[in-house]
Amino acid sequence: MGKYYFELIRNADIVLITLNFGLAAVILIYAAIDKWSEGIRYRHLRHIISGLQTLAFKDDNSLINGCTLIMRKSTPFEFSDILKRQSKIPSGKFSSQLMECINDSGKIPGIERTAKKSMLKWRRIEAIVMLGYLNSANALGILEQSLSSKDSDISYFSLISLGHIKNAESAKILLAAVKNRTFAGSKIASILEHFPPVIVEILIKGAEGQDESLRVWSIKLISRFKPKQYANKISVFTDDASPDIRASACECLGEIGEESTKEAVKKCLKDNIWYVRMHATRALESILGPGSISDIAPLLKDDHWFVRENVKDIMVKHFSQARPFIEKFLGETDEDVKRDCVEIMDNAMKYHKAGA
Amino acid sequence: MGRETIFYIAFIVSFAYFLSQSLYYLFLAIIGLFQSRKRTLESQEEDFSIVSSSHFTLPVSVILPAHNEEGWIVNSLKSILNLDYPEFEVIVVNDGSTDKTLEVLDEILSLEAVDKAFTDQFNSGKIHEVYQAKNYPNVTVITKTGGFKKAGAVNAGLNFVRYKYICVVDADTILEPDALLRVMAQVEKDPDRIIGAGSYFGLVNGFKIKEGKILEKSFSFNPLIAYQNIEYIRSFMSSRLSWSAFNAMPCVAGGFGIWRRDIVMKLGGYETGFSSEDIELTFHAHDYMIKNKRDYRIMMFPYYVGWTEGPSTIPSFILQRNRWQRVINETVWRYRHMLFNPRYKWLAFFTFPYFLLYEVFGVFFELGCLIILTWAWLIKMLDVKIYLAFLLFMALIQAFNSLAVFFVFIRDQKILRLRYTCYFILLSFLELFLYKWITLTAKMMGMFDYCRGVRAYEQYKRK
Repeated sequence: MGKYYFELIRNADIVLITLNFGLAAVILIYAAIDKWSEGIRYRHLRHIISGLQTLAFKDDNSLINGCTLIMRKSTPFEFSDILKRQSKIPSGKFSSQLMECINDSGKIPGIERTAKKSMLKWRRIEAIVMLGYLNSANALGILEQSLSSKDSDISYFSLISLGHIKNAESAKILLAAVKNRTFAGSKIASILEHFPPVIVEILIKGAEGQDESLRVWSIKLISRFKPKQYANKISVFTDDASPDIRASACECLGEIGEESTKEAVKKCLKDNIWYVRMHATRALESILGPGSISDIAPLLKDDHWFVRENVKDIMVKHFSQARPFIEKFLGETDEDVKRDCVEIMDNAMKYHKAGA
Repeated sequence: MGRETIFYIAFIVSFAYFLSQSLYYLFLAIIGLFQSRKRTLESQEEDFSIVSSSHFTLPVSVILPAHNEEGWIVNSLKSILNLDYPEFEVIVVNDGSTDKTLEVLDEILSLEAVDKAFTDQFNSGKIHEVYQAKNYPNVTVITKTGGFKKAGAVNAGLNFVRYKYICVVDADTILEPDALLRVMAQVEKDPDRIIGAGSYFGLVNGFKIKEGKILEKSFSFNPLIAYQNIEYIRSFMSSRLSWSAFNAMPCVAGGFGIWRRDIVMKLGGYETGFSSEDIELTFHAHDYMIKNKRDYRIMMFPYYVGWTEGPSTIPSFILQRNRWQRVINETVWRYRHMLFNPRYKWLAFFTFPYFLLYEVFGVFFELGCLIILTWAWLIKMLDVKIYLAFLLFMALIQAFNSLAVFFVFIRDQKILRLRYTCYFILLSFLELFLYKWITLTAKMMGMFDYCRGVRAYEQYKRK
């Protein structure tokens, strides 16, 4: 019996010793090779980038020829790295011609093929991301298709890639993704935020549509571009049935700061929903500045804590205009409001002292 | 039943225990291998510039509880203030410090007492003062007393947070500048479902740090620190990453943990009755979401987001592990209804049994096995060859578990120098003889203290 156990354990030990030493060797060899290959890759990449940087000072023809040659010699990995490090290459004449020489390198069809149907998932994703930088003729079609992929990673990186093609067509595809709930609205909005203002018209259409999520995010995005010409169109949304739309519209009008929309915002100060009132106070302050105090001050008695806190901050900021209201409130019986008034006076002193 | 029969039963049980444990770990390592790769590739392809420059990036409230942290708070706070993230606020909770923590904070932040309205909604102790930083408008400092350990301090901070996500950071943790960016980029993909997220952090001991910035990641060669690093790698890169793949992650570590505020509020804040707070909160969140039939995810990522100080002496190490053992026992007991309950899916059949068998009762198996073997050898019932072969078997299994995960770490997180890699490998083979004894002692003491009803949060002395 004892001998049997000994044999059993000894054999297990032999297997484990082999496995352990094998694994230890693999780790060490892997770590050494990885460090070595990384160094080579980095040096090669640096060589390519410095080559491209030198070309920036040459005439157009030698630039394109030299660049195309470098691109042809690059591996797909290096190609991807170069695209991600475009900021390291001088801007101006060169950066506009970089894409031209990349297109001439003859690699784009291969990248498109990989992005469309490679079986290697991460190779495919890398190609998808590269397409965004390259903005080739077929890029939008391929990315739109891969955006609806069942694989969440492929879908996500198609979204990111579309964000690099900053034009109206890609914006439309991204807004459709908001509508289809492909990804969180905030994620898509953070991508669209970096687009040129030309997309505002598309966003206005989105805001006028039927889908509530799309409408909310369209209005929020419009606020980032502050288009004064659309202020009146946005003010219509302050009458919307959805409180989210009303709140977003107020926020947007505050960002635009067009005085003609003040009545629409003032109306929202009396909204039933607290966050609409809160955004309305902020928006009105943004539009009218100190002139907003007479409309905002009564909301110091608001039922909701967040609204009151917001009003307090505004009254601190425009203390001299708020003063008559504070004096009036101090003469009233509401103890909470009185306490808030004392807090406003206290903070106003610090605020204006710090400002001075 | 004769002595020999008892011995052979014990022998077979021990053998089965170690074999099953190593198979479980092997399974975790295989899943971790794929998970870590996936997350690393995701991170490589991610466009962080979108997240770091967007108005729509989800803002985060960072809560930094501090109790007698005068030596560490500068680095910790500055590392937070250096975060590359578009919008965040910092709530520092000075929890009854008797040293110069508040003075140090005042020196950096130039504090000014403010009259801020708040409602104390949780077990927080007594909140005394609220200060606003003049130099950093996004920093608030709260002073409180009245106990309730770290959980109470975080609860106090919860009363002041404004944003949808909170990030709890330990006062001895130095964050990487892209810590929030990396994790929140993942959270932003699905903020409706992701309620909690954590990521890997290692030990800062040995690093060169100045003003919250890590100048050199020179890992310590102190064996106690190195073994803790190995343990952290094993835990984060294998176990937690794999459990996360099945949405059965039992612990978003207290050193760096992101939570959705509304969920923490629904849970009533952090539980103050436990020896520690992180495991309990994670189990509580799972329990709440499953009982309320809500779709959710609690995630773990392999990115190194920060570095925390580990105990560098054996007594301080035992103190820390004693507390960890107690909180595991407390949590397992509190959430025992999850065990083999089909409603809890992988948590019930995969994570919870692990905790029960290997984390709670494991100490008895491991210690019992060693005692019985030694006893059998001493009374000449067991041949010395079998005794040594079995000890070697235990040591090799332990080493294999470490090495398998270590490969994952080396492949995806390229931060270790070759000499440190060699040192790790060497230490892996000796873990049973050098380190296991200390952890077993700490665990036994933790079991004993748990049975005595000790629920204290002892803080070991910082270097």
